[in-house]
Amino acid sequence: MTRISAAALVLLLFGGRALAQKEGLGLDLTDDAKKDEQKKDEQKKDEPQEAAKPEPSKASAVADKQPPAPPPTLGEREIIQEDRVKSVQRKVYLKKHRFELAPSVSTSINDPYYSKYAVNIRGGFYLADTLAVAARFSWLGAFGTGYVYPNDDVRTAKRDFQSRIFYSVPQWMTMGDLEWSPLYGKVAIFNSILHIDAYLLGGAGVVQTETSAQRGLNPAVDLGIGMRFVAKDYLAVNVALINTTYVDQPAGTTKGATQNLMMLGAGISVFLPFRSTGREAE
Amino acid sequence: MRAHRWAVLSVGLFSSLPVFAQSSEDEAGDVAEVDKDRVGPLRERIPPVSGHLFRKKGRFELSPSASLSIKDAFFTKYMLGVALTYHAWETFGIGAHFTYAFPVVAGAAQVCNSDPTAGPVGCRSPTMTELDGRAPGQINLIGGLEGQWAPLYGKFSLFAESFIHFDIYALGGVALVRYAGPAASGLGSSTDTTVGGNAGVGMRVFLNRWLTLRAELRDLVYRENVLPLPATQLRQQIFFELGFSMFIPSVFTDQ
Repeated sequence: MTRISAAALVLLLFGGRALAQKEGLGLDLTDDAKKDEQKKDEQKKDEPQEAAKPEPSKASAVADKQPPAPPPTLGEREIIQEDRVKSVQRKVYLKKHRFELAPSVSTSINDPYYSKYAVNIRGGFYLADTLAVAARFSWLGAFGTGYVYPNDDVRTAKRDFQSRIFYSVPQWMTMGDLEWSPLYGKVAIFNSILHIDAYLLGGAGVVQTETSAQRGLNPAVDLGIGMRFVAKDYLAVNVALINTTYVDQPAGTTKGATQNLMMLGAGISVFLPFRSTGREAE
Repeated sequence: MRAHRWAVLSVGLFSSLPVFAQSSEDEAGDVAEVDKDRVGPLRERIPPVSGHLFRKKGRFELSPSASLSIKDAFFTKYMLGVALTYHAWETFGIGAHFTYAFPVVAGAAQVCNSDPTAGPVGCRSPTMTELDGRAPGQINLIGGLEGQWAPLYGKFSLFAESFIHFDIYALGGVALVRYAGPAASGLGSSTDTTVGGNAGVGMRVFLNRWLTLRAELRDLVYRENVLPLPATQLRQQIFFELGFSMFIPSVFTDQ
């Protein structure tokens, strides 16, 4: 439970910041003071040159006789003005107030004896560009006849060490998550550009196991990380590592045990509406 | 084998990304938001990700690392290693790696007794001596040659205030694996060496022009002798690795 509290606190702290983000502003590396200075310069340029020209005076006559001043060096302000290309330019695809539908497949990576495979469908709605609420349903019986697949070590453990391996058999799970994506960037691949974001997720839900018929659904919590590679306005490929924790009483034992189901998954994301809202801000 | 199929599926998904991206150029009408960088007027003059902080071509990469095996039934391996890679191209390098492992009894391992005459009934964690030579996966050394392909270079904006430059790479190669397998005498273990292959993905975060933080997920596949001899078993071992990379020479030119 402390993990849930910590995750909730982090999301609350940074969620406000995410909500405060203005749509379409993206990134601008020049600070406000420099922007003001730039505006003043532009105003000066607009004024008629005649107005700027001073009346001829004795002082100017003396100045005319002095040697010409060296050409001005390019200062920091000029360099920034010249630099029209920012390190990571403004966000060109935005997710705020869009829906995301994401089918995926995943496999467990932490169970030494039994492998699990799942087909997932996830729907999300973006409250802000960096904050989403999502619901996920996972079905673990889509591959083969069972829900878990023993490896060779099960045989070795039972034959040579008389191990009694009590294992949980998750059948399906449904989870509600909050997703926070503080990292946004882009990558070059094969001379093409992909926009990416990385996210953290946390939430709660229920897991149905083979013993749930006697004991009911098992409450569960989610914690995970993921990355989305955006190929088009409406299409992305995502990878995620999600750990689902629940308490189950496996068949053959009267003891309940905490189960950690860590799944590595990959899939696609389809965004609705298809067009990014980023274009409206331009 | 299922894991392999999934790996192929994942690679397929990522490989298809540039195809999706490229096809958008053929669309008539408005240019999609994510395509604007690709087809904009500055495209010819500005690289896809500007401000390329780090170049690898023609440099050596020396990488000390620490790694941990995951999904272990009998032995968890804590490993210290070093790798030396030469980056012949910006996106491709070849290298050698050497890793020394310290196997300990895994948390999932258990030995049970149901015979009251043989001792206390119940299950407990086995000792190293009980597993030695009887349980598979007691790796001691891994060395090998591998190729590294880094097609992805990018940068992240962190809170719109700072930037993280990184690259993502795939690796694959052959490996010599030294492990403690079952002894022919039936007592204790004997050291055996076998050939395997490994594949993985990694990410480098560039800290400056010569130093990176590196994380890697690696899958080692090899064949091991198991009881009863002369049986063998194809084993799959996953490692998570964390380390630094030092690039030599420490300076580079942009082109």
